[in-house]
Amino acid sequence: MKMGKILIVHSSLNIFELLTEELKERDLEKTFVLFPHRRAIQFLGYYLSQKIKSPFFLPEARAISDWIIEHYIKVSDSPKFVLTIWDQTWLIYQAVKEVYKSEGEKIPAWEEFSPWCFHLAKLFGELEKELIQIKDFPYPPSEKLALHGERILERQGKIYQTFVKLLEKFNAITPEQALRYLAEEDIPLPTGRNTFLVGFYALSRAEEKLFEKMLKKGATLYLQSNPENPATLHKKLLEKWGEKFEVVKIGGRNSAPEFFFFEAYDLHSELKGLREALGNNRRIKRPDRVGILLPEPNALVPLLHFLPEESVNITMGYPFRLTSLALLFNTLFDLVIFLKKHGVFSVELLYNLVKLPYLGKFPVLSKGLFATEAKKLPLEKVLELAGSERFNVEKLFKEVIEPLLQAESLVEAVKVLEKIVSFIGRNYQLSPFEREALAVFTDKVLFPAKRLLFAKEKLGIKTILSYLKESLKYVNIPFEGDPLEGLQVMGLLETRLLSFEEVFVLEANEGVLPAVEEINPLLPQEIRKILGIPDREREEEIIRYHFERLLAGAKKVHIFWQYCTTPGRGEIECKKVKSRFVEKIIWEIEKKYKKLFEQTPYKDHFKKAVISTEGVGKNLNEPLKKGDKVREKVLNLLQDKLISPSLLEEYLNCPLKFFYNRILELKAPEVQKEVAHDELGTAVHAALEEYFKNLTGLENIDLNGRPVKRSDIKFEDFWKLFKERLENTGFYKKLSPEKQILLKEAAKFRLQKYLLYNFPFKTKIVALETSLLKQFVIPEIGQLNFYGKIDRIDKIEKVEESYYLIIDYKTGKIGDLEKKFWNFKTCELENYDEKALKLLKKNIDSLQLIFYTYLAGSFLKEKLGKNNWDWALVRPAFIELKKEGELKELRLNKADHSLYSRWFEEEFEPCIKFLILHILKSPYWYPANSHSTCTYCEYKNICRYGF
Amino acid sequence: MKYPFSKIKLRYTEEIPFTEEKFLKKRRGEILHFTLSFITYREDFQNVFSYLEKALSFFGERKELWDIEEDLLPTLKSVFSLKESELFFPSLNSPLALFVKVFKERSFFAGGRVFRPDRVVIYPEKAVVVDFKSHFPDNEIQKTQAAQVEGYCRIVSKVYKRPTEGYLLYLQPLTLKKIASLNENG
Repeated sequence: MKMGKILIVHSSLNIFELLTEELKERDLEKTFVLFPHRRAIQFLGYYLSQKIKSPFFLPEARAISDWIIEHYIKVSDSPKFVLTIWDQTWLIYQAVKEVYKSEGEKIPAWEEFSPWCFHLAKLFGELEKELIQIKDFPYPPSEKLALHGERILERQGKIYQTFVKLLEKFNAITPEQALRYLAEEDIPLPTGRNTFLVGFYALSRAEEKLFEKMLKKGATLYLQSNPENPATLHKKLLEKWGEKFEVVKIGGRNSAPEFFFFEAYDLHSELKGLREALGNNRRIKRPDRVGILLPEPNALVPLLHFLPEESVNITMGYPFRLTSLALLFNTLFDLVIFLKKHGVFSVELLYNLVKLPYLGKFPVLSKGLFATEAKKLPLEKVLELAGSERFNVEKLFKEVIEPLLQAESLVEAVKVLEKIVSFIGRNYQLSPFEREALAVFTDKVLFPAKRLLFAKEKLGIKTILSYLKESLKYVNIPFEGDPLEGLQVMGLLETRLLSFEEVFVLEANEGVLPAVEEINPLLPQEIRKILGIPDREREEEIIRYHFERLLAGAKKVHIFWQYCTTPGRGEIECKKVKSRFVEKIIWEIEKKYKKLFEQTPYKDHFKKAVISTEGVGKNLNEPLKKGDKVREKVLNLLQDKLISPSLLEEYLNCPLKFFYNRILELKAPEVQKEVAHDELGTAVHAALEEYFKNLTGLENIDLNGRPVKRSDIKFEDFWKLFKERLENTGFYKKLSPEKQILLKEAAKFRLQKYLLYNFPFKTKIVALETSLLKQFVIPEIGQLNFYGKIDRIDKIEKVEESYYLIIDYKTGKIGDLEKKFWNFKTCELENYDEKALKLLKKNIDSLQLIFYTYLAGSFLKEKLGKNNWDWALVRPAFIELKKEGELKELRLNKADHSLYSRWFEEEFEPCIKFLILHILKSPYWYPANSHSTCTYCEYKNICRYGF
Repeated sequence: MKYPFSKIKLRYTEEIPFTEEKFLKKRRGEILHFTLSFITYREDFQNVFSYLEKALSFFGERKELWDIEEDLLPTLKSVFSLKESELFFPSLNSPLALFVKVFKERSFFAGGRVFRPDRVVIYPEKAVVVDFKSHFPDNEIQKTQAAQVEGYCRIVSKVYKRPTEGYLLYLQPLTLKKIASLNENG
């Protein structure tokens, strides 16, 4: 038999062109071609069809992973059955138990130990592939390992031997053992000049041995590298085989492809850039015209939105774990595990479960769970929250959760899940993709689970569900890649061997290309090196090779990456940076031109997407229009609701926010603050009210007032009331003990200042926390109800005059209360437009106190009688508790109080009327467009003007 | 926005089993197919048990989960009992044996697509294409399967330039249907 040869084909050449040129002369019926992956088989067919115009038999072509098992089965007289990784994990656990028992070592529970067995199965696989004898690893570096890891590695030889015995008992084999068998045993192999091994890069030692045997019997090995300077692993291979076999070098162009760079700020802008760059390539048929490389499948769904409707082949599978069905099952499993452990439901998990649409609709329960402060709830409480949905929730518990909770084996759990799948299939309108995902789940996870070696073992529900959760992670939803045409969307490993005229590389970011190293607690990098199995460095070398080979074969390459700051994989936010592979390309360009990139001709090939702070897709110059239906709703609101100063102020500050809040009734997201000022204010108001009620015996309004002297005040009594209220607030309970003390001390200091030093020497309290209502008629609307709750009304009796002070406690930030209100003339207001609103806003910073004064005045006018009434009898005042606690009166005119009457009747009432009519009649919902208003707005995330 | 999956093709949507029964039916079909793929000549039938074991191993199926003696083996052996089976599994003792080519699960390429009939037997004077189906289906599926075999025949007749016959062989209940008989030009 003739010895085989090695062809080193330049990476810029299309390996299929050369291969098919060779094959067309051969008898295809007798030809065997081995590829690194399945997709290559279809490309082989495509390229052969370019040379052989009529239909033809394809050579026998296989992906190596398929062929290893097939060939093992074919050549073994009595082949063993090939074990899944899950059965391997189980048998390894049995082996561990036996070994640990013989050594008097404590046997860990399967529940806790199965992940370690899984990693050990993977390790045995790697060692088999590298033809390494598996023996005990005495004294592994304990500082690098967890305790379990250390114990396992110390005994790995014994565990392996026991595992092998168990495999024999079950007449089973692992896929890696099958490979080792083919490599080490003298078995028939495809041989001769008609055998081609094409496009391999990183070979395990077992693969190397196998290929060497085939080469010795005449096979041809096609490698793709620069023949004069082969890639690292090819170089190593040639060092071993260069003398043994004939080496043929096939050179190609050394020039780099034409590069285009696009720096996007996020995935959306990246895909938008891709769509533009694709241009006319959107309607191509040839499968080798355009390749889109998507290093991670996570962005596949967003990408699909940006691809043309015409033919697209997606070779990468979509991970089931990213689908909402996976979310359903994972949430269900977590919920059941929690329930088993705690005997109650986790509110968060139950909420997440019932919000998903697949098991039915539970709006009442969702709302109840969302509102409750409890973190765990027993079933009875859940049913209470379910209200009208009680029947369906009980059904959910009885038919789904309870049977799962009681499952004792994998088979029993799977039976319950089969019913759930069937329920979903019957009751929920699945999209084609969801249907596919569900089918893949049943086909690849559920039914095979029933056939596992441990399927009928009695295990804890946590173990069973943890297994199912783990197995979900490895399932992919495949897409149909036949017929082979159009744009090819691939992961990096699917691009092996393939060449495209134009390549689009997406997400060329660090952490993606190359991906972040997966943490394996059993095999830290140092241990890999000691054991002699491939390490991270080699893995990165492999990724680099495939990436550079793909690019070298293209005429044009478009590289996209993102630069925005996003939450990283850890807790810290990180700025995305371009891949080190891209940095290398840029460095090569700079070296070539001996200039910085910006000074090279390539600067014109660089585009950067700029983040626009303008809203997209909406005309911000024209505010939101107020249609007739909305106007009707406004009218109803004004007629039916109480008109409070906060309602009017909200409109005055931002009509658009008024629209979101009062018309659309959008619930603003709650902003969690460490100190909730509203709750703190409520506690202060309530304590002051109760204290003064106790002190004066005042229950209702007493127009004569109840006398109180500063000397009557006993601060300790007040403090007790306040402290009790403060300690019951939600935010206070969440504060750290240190912060609780600080808050109390600060509050005590300020309240003491007010009550002990700034409270009037003597006053008469007329009313405390009094709600007042006034009916007001605007002909265009009808009767309106003005409403306000006044903190306190005091009667001031002096020698020269008596009057009522309308007092507002201010605990938070306050505006300029004495602005220009008093001087403002309503006649300045003309139309119901933005100009008028701005004018109003300019002159009224805070409406509340004046509005209360107006309400109190109207009330007193009625009580005292028109003849005894003068608006000068009511005067607004506020106490700034946040500062010194001094009482400040707002004065219209110190000298002439009679001006009050004219002002309230001639200016205030028309002003309020204008404002209310503005709500109804203005053509638009004007935005605030003010930094101070928008910055702290609860609606800023959804506002069309938000930025 | 339009649901993006309309533009890509899903692999199994129409035929994926949602019940274990369907899953097992599909798996059973795969095992039978794979076992038959080991049989080139009529004489190979004597090793059918060993091939069945290989098939079970390949799919990672434990023997005890299948009814080998009462179900799988009788089904496979029934194929051999068919008079026409000689056409699909020629005898090594036949004088023509040296001139016959048997292709099992081999792909051919036509019109940009890969096709993979279960078995193609090339005789000097004609070609025979046969596709095995584990169960006898309803009318609609029969039509699709027949069209598929007819397509295979058309291509085989063009590649080997000889008259080609196409068959569908249903294993349960054992039924043979002749689908096509084309001349050398398809």
